[in-house]
Amino acid sequence: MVAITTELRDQLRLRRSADTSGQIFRGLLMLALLVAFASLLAMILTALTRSWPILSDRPLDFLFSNTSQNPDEAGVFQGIKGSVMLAAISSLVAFPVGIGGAIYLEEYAGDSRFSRLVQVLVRNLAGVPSIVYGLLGLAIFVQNLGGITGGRSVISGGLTLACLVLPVVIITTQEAIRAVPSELRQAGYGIGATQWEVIRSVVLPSAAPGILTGTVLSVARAVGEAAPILVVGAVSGFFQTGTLSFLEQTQSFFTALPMQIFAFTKQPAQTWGAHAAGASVAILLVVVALNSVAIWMRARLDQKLRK
Amino acid sequence: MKSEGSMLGRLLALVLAVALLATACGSGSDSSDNAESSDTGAATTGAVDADGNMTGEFLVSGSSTVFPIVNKQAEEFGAANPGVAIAVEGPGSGDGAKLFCAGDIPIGNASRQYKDSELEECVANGIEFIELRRAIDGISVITSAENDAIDCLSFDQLYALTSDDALGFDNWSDANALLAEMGSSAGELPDAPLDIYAPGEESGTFDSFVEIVIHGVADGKTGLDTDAREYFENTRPDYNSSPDDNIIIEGISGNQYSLGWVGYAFASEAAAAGDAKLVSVAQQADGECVAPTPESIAAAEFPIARFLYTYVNAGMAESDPAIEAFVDYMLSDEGLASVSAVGYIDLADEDQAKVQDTWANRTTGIQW
Repeated sequence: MVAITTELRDQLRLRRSADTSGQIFRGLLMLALLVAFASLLAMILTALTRSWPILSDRPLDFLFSNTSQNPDEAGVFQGIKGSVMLAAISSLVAFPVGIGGAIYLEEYAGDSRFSRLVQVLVRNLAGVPSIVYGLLGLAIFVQNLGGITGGRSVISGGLTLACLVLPVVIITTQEAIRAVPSELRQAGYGIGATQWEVIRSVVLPSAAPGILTGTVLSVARAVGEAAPILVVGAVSGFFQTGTLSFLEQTQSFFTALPMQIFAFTKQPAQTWGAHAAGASVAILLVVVALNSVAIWMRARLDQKLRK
Repeated sequence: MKSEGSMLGRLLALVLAVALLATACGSGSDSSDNAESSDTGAATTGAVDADGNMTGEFLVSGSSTVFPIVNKQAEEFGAANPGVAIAVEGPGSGDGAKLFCAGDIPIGNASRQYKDSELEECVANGIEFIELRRAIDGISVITSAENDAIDCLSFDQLYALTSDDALGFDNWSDANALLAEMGSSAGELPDAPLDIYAPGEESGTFDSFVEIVIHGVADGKTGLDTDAREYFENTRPDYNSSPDDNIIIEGISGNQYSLGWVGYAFASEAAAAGDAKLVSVAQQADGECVAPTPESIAAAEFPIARFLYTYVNAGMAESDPAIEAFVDYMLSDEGLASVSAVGYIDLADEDQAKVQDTWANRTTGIQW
């Protein structure tokens, strides 16, 4: 390659300045980025300023207290616990099933009429509004399978969210698998590996970072969903689970952060506004934590791959 | 190649974890199947163990108006009985009635008495209920704090502003011609733009306002000749309705000549914060203007007030000591303190005594 000389650089600059429409386009793109960034910043700042009365007064107490009718004692711990459990259950179910389905579609199914049909269905399912999944969860997990899930429980909620993220997990995994260069696969076959060996040792490891990012992002998104868990029956008021064991608790009353935000805004008295904003900050923290885990695991996988 | 092996290991571990979870759920449900009496997980049979620690699991649902009272009582009861799993919700009186009469919940709250259609469901399902009156909620007519023109409204005026007769009125003075046509002696309303913010049909507050004010006028309770012309029995559909009282207050405070109505608990909070002004109400056109205060509401002097109710499933209360103990707590002096603490008004002493009697004797059926 030719090194970029000062002369060449000057020529490029000259060409850029003559390209007016290109410059305008560049400006518009920058504006789009700014709008996205500004709205994000405005949202975070609003949440922080509105919740300041609480976050400045008792930040840890707010994060680690249970719900209460007393605004000076109410906290979001049950919501955080519920949201983390929802994320865990939906990941445990949606990741293996979704990743498995995607591997099948990409590596085994070929281009049959059946696989094309499934493909179309999955893409359409990804666009179905979350409230519809809530109704599905209400009918199947709460009512029909109530004996196993405990009816209105964190298990029903987690399974509902798993259905919600499943199509997205399948699609992002497919994209990640498709991005693996076919030369790698061919090299694998070239040294006599079977299809299973190639998928196991070549395709999945190289696709893993992409799969991980997509799937964890989809679960982070699901954690913020209010509509499905509202339908499935997250509790809006005070609750305690008594002496129930951890396993029994998964089949008993639960709430989640979006539900708590909703419940706080319905309380009389303006002071509860700060609680709603504080719960919004808490949900941001949970999502950032989930994303950080994804970034950390991705970095680790990348590092291992390079070795 | 080593890293790929561990990758596979991780995937396998994940699958294994799911399998474990599935088995765990399965066995968990086996052991608790007999305890889970309904598919909503709402009611299980509680018990008291040898140390006197109470256990049990139940859900309380119903009116969003009664919710703050019961929510506070449940919290206090829960603190004293940490072994009991209890949850409180407030989707609405009608939703609570449906769950209660289907036998899904042991305790249902309502901002009105259960309707005949709802009770028929209870009867059909063989559910015996104990009806307890809980508190009084005044419905406050409100306007913005900057509205100096309006201090008092009579039922006739409220009818001429908010009923279907007033469809399309966007100025307070539009109601004057209607008041004259009704033959009401109510005073003139000012020439000012009219913006109405109030609860929608799904709300118990809406039901009570319609029943007390609009039906009151239509039934001739304000002394109008109801045979002379036809009166409407519903509100005008063209106002800003919201199920969320905070949004109503926002609309009220944002428009100088706004008009609306919400429960007294919300209204007094908003008035204290300077976001709204409580309007006095006179039942008769030439009657006395009464301001909503805890005293005037309790004494039934303030004309727009309603009673709040709780319905207890008699069978479940008998078989489940936790449910029984919770109702006991709600009616104890300690529990009753929650009523005024969250902004509602205590029952008159003789009414409260009747409620205690009803519960003590476990008298079922309609009491009021």
